[in-house]
Amino acid sequence: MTSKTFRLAAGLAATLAFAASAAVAATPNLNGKWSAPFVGVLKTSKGAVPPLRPEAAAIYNKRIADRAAGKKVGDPIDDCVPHGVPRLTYAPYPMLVVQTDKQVTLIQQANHTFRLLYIGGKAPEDADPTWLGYSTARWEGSTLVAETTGFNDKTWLDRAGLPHSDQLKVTERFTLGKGGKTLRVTSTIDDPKTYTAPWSTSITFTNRAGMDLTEMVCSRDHKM
Amino acid sequence: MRIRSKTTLGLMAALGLAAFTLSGAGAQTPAPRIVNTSKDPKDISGVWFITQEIRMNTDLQIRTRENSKNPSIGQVMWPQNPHREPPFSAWGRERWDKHLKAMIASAPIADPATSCIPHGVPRIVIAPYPVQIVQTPGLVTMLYEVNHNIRLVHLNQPLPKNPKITMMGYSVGHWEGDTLVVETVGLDDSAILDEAGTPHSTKLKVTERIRKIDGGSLLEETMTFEDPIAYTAPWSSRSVLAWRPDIPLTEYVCEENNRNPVAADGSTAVPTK
Repeated sequence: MTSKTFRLAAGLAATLAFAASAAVAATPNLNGKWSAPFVGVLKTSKGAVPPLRPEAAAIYNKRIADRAAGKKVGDPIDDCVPHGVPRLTYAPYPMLVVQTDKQVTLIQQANHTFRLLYIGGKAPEDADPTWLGYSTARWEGSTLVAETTGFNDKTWLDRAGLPHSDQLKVTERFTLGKGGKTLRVTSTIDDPKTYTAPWSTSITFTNRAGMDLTEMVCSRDHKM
Repeated sequence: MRIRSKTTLGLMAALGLAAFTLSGAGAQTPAPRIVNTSKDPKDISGVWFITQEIRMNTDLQIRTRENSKNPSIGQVMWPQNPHREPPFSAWGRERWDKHLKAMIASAPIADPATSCIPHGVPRIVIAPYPVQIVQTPGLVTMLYEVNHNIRLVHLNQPLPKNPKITMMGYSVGHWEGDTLVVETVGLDDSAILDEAGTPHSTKLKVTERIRKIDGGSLLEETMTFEDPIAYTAPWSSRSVLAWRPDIPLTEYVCEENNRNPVAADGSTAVPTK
């Protein structure tokens, strides 16, 4: 190789490397610790009660009435089982995001719970239903889009008691804002057995760099 | 103990592992090794699964088997080569004897994991369930399938001087060549080091030296225990995990259906099947 050819090749390689690093830099970095004010009653983006089918509305209204009356409401997390999705996102405790090229891990202080969002993954077709479902994710520009299915029907969508079926599909869109100081999560609930139409709700987290997650043990302390 | 899933049952059968039974450790067939495609010695990310080596403190197991109707003592962390007791202090000996007597009486003392409380360190390291290691700048995250346990190893930070006492403690780490050195303090003394009940105090410091061996298909964990309350000298134990990209973590919710209820006297039933 002549020195001129070598310089050209080296220049081309440098350009390619720069392009590659620019492509990597375009993927936002969600790593860090985040917290948000507690939201116990989910409403749609327009501030309305979600479009419950009549049978589901009856269940929801009874849970709200029972709680207001001081009766036992049978909140599943009182048994220290996982919150489900999106309720886990709304748990009033810090969240740690651990992001790699292959997976975004959401670690919740609430009863030391984690969710794995597999980038480019494919949900298994014959899996048993689970509390937190199976999540695949992809980047759409600067937004991380996670789709989760495979839920059991035992969790509530929020503390108030929004029900769901095992047909629930949750699509979450994670977007950084304010130069990386905030993280907005919009969850779209698609469950035709429970709701007459898909609906969405959003929460905004604030970055808490100096904060440590503490150890919460529900089965011992039962303070959820 | 909860069996993980059909997959795990199959896996355990495939590995020759019967979680709480002893069938002559030496006769077991090692699992086939899977080639780790990452040749970077500092890339320990991915899913790993404890191999059977840790179960092989045969002296203790034989001794227990001769004295008990139910010889299951589970995993033992004791020094393996040669097999010997750790250097118990009087404090440590008293607690170990209590555990051993209870085991021989087939009424083992329930440890926190029995009640869905985090296993503690090092007990979680040798738990027979997969662990996924995730590496990001400044942090090594260890995600355990069993009871959704989590460890965060903060890289290149000092150990806290007055650590808060928690089940999983506080861990810092640094690289020494190709070995990740993890130090953990602040460990709750209601936890035990291993399934057999080897005790520790809140003064325990665990130092783990973690490195890929065998071309990356195995992960060696040499653990040193310093605990001036429970032991008269530091001592070490070695565990080996196998590279298992074929068994991604599944959901394990101890709280959902715990089959090891703890009686009022603190004992728990020994699984007989």
